[in-house]
Amino acid sequence: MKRLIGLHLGALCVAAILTGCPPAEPDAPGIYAKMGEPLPSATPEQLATFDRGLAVMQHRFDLKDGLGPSFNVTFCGACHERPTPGGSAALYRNFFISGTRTNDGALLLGDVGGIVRLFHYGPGDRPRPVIPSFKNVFTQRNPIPFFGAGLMAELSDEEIRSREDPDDLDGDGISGRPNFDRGFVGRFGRKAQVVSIEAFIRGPLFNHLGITTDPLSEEQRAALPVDSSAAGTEAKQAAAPDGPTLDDDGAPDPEMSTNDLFDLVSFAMLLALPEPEQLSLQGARGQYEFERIGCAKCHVPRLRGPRGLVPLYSDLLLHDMGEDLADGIEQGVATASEFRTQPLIGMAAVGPYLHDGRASTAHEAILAHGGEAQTARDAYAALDGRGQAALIEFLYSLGGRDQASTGLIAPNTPVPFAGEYGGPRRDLSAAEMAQFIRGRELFDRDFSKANGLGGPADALGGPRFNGDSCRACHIDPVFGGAGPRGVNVIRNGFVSNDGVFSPPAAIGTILHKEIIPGYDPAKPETGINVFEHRQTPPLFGLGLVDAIADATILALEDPDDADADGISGRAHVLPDGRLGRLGWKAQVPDTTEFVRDALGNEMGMTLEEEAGLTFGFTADTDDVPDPEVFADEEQDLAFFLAMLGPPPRQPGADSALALQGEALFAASALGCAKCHVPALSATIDGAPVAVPLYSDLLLHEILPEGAPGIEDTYAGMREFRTAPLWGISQTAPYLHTGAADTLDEAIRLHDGEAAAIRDAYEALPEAERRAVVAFLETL
Amino acid sequence: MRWIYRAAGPPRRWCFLCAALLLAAFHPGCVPVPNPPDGEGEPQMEGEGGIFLEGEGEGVVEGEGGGEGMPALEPVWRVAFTVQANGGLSAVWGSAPDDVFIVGGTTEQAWIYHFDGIEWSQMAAPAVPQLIWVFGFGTDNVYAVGLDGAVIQYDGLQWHILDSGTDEDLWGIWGTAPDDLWLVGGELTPGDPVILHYDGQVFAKWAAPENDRNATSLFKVWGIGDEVFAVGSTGLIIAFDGERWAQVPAGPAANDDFVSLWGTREDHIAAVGGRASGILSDFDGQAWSTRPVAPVPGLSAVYMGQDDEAIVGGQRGFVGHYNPETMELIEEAAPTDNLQFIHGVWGDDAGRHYAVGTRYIGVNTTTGFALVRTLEPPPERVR
Repeated sequence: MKRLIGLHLGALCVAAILTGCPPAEPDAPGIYAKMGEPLPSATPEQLATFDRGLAVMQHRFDLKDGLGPSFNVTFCGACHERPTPGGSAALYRNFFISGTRTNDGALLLGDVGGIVRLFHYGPGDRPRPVIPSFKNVFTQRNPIPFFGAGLMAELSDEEIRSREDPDDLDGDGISGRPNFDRGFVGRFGRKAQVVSIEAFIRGPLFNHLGITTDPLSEEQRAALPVDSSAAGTEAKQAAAPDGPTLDDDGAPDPEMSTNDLFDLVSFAMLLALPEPEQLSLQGARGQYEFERIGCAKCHVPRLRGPRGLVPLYSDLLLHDMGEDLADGIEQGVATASEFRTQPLIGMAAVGPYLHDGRASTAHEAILAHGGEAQTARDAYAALDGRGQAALIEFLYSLGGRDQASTGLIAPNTPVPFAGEYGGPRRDLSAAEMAQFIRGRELFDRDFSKANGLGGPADALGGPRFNGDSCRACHIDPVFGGAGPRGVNVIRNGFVSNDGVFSPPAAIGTILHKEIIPGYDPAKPETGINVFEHRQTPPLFGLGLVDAIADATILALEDPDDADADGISGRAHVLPDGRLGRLGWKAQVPDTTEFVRDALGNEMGMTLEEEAGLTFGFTADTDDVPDPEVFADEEQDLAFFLAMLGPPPRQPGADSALALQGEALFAASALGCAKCHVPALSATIDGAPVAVPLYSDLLLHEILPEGAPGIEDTYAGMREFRTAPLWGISQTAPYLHTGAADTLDEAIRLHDGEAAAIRDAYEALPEAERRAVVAFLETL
Repeated sequence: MRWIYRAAGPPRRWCFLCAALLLAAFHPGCVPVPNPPDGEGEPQMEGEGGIFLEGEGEGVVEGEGGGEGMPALEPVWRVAFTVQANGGLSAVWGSAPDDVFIVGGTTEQAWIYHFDGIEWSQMAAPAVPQLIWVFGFGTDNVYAVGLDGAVIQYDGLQWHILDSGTDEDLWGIWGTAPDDLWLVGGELTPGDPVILHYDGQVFAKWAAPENDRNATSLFKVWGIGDEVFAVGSTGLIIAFDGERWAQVPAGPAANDDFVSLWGTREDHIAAVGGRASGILSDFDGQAWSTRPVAPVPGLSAVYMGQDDEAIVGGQRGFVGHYNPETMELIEEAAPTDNLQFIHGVWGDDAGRHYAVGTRYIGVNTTTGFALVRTLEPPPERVR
């Protein structure tokens, strides 16, 4: 009976909303815009800083800029991309926090806030850095969105503390309490451990990128969109570390200027909130349930800031979320099981959910609530399907739904024209275009644990993966392209004293960077002694590469260097007789197998068994039924990649110089074109075409004599396929390891068979070296 | 806003020592402060030199303040002086109310200031980088330690450089006698903390004890009777038993650096620390007990002149007093702001306390400051 009364009351409320009650106090003016856009109240000067800050956010830091030497990502936007810069990210950007639980029970996070850095270049560590043995606590964190950060910064401590009830004096089972940072109420971070936006940006810049900064000066803090000077209206925003961050990577500190930092902080402060939708009848029912079952006790709809009411749907207080969500990490006064109430505004577009992204839907997230939220969670679970759907509808109506997608491609994004980056290699029929779009959506789609993400659990830990989508790694300069260093694949193996390579015993040579939430980071097998970075190769024009006849490639072989030119390329003929042509070691024969290989090895997705196809996995150990990707989906994906056009040539800055460089490149005196063959012939749709990929698709030894490496099938440790150069101007960094920031560096790092050519390049006058690079930049 | 951290306990009562008569003292090592008008690189003092004699004693009452018919005395913090050159002040210690030393400096050059009971003056400092801590046994036997292994000694006439044998930063010095001094330090980069012992002739390096906190530095050392402790990074506390140093438990809340410690008895010692938020630890003669004191920001300085009152200081210009017996920590009003960082506090026998630190303006743009705390009657209320 009580339930019926409740529903009737709810219905009355819904009716009241729809028919118009006395208007409640409106939300603060000038706070809503599309996600990724600035506050409408921003001044022209602030808009200029916003644009500059956006550029800083998307800037890829190179080694010469001071990246690392240990890092997780190379740019801020790597982790704050969903659905736009400033947002969250999918599981592939999860990071690990580690700590040490001491004998007397203290939890020490240690250097860089306990962040586990997953990549390293240069001396001092291996490509997948060693995790110190004294670390005995690990957890994962999913990146947090910044929308409305400036509005949160403006909230007074008193406003947040007005809802604290640490001893649950009102007996409602909810006992939120604030966290503190330097004397002020923390509000940023999963545990509200940080009060200042500047600190919340400088910390990750150092911890995740290895980019050092100086703190902003008082003068700069006073000029921020949220006055952050000690004497200003928001003095708490001055509560940031006053010391510089420093490292010893050879790049002068600070590695980001304070002007750039100012713009970046301004960008974050100016990000608007998405406007909640007008509630549908279902949404209004959901809002009623949201209030009725107690969600709003913590997810307080509105907090009062200096501009007026701000609809965060959070009290920004810490709440005990129960043992199942406890992550072992204590920050400030927050215990392992305490988390800040996550703001819900815009949640439709910023999944996955919860601190480690374990929930891919709001439904999963609610059911994972415990502790103080157990009662509300149980009440939700007790709702019938319509009630639950209504509540979810309400949550997804809280702004941003129109920007949500299954990946990063915004809804209704048109397909580029043929000839443009990201477009098909020719005009497509309607049916072909539909399949191309389906394939693109699959390429972009983020998979989750519920979809079967992650390979088999084994002695090394839980289900592992590198990316949760194809797009995760292939983003530069557009989806389908190469990837920055922060999505490198780390391969590992064992090389004996007499130079014999052995792969790890349990799994292949990939040492995955990610693992399903709940597991510690993957560690290499005992005894592994060789680690190697592998850059993400671009996928443009794969269909054209498929179309090159084996005979064309085999005709270029010279395994014994019969022509005595020092170059002895050989084809990578696979065990089943097929000719490998894709991958850094030419270990994959064609686009379809490449899709299967990546879905299996990089994402841990199982596939249907198909005649003639040998790559990928058909079964794993998770509880998602196999196959996790169906054959028709795989075919759509393969079609998308096969039809993805080759990279368009770029206009050079100096066409005369580029022409000179092209001539030098082709000249036998230099010899680049001996391996980087400008074009290979193919037959496409019955017509002969030249495929200008600047590669012979053969294996060459390009590492120094005796250098250890990773073998793959029949490709030796020092052997690599001649990397196609088409599109290379847009796919920095270079080489299989990504060790080269620039094309000039990449050429100078050639060795083995290419040593003589490298020497010849280095012997060129500087003007001619610049010409060669200018030519490459037109590719 | 002002913090009041109040643990369970009865309402606190103030307890005061009487103010002592100050005598001016002449120190040959002092050089009059030149106060150059545009002294770039030269510390330039500004402030109320000699303020301590002005009105000294007025309203100061012997015995317990707030006695019947007597006005309750309140602590009043004033700026003693500021130093406008880029650098900071780190520590304060004195042998007597008229013999107080403040040390600090820049990464290139140490600064030393002296109070003779009348005014502050700058002393000639040897060519060593910033000094971090100062401790001594009398007006003619004072030691200071600092960056890059710097150790200097004052003999009553001038400061001399001692060769510590290390180039690692030294953060603390304390001892029972001039031939029994402990020095501690270390770098913030991976490595073991530094422990040196000085017997008046030779600095001997002691191996840092094993610890499960991967601490790289010890920041302060202090002792009384048979209890000698050093505290440091990542919440490390080590104890010296007369023969060796060993880690002692600090408790689950000791999850951040301890920066300083002081006490009045073997069973009455307090350590303070924390970076973003403060932590405070008490030693009761048996064990250390640590607890967070948020929202109080990170604490870095403590001086305990009497059992029921420790003066503490830290980030964001925080100064306050802590009563280890009632576990109350109460912020005091002070002429500080969010940009100031208190590094050291100390009190004399006359009931006067000093706090020194650094004010941040921008990177490589800092100033030093010194505060003094006296006890005065509250302002007259207008009815």
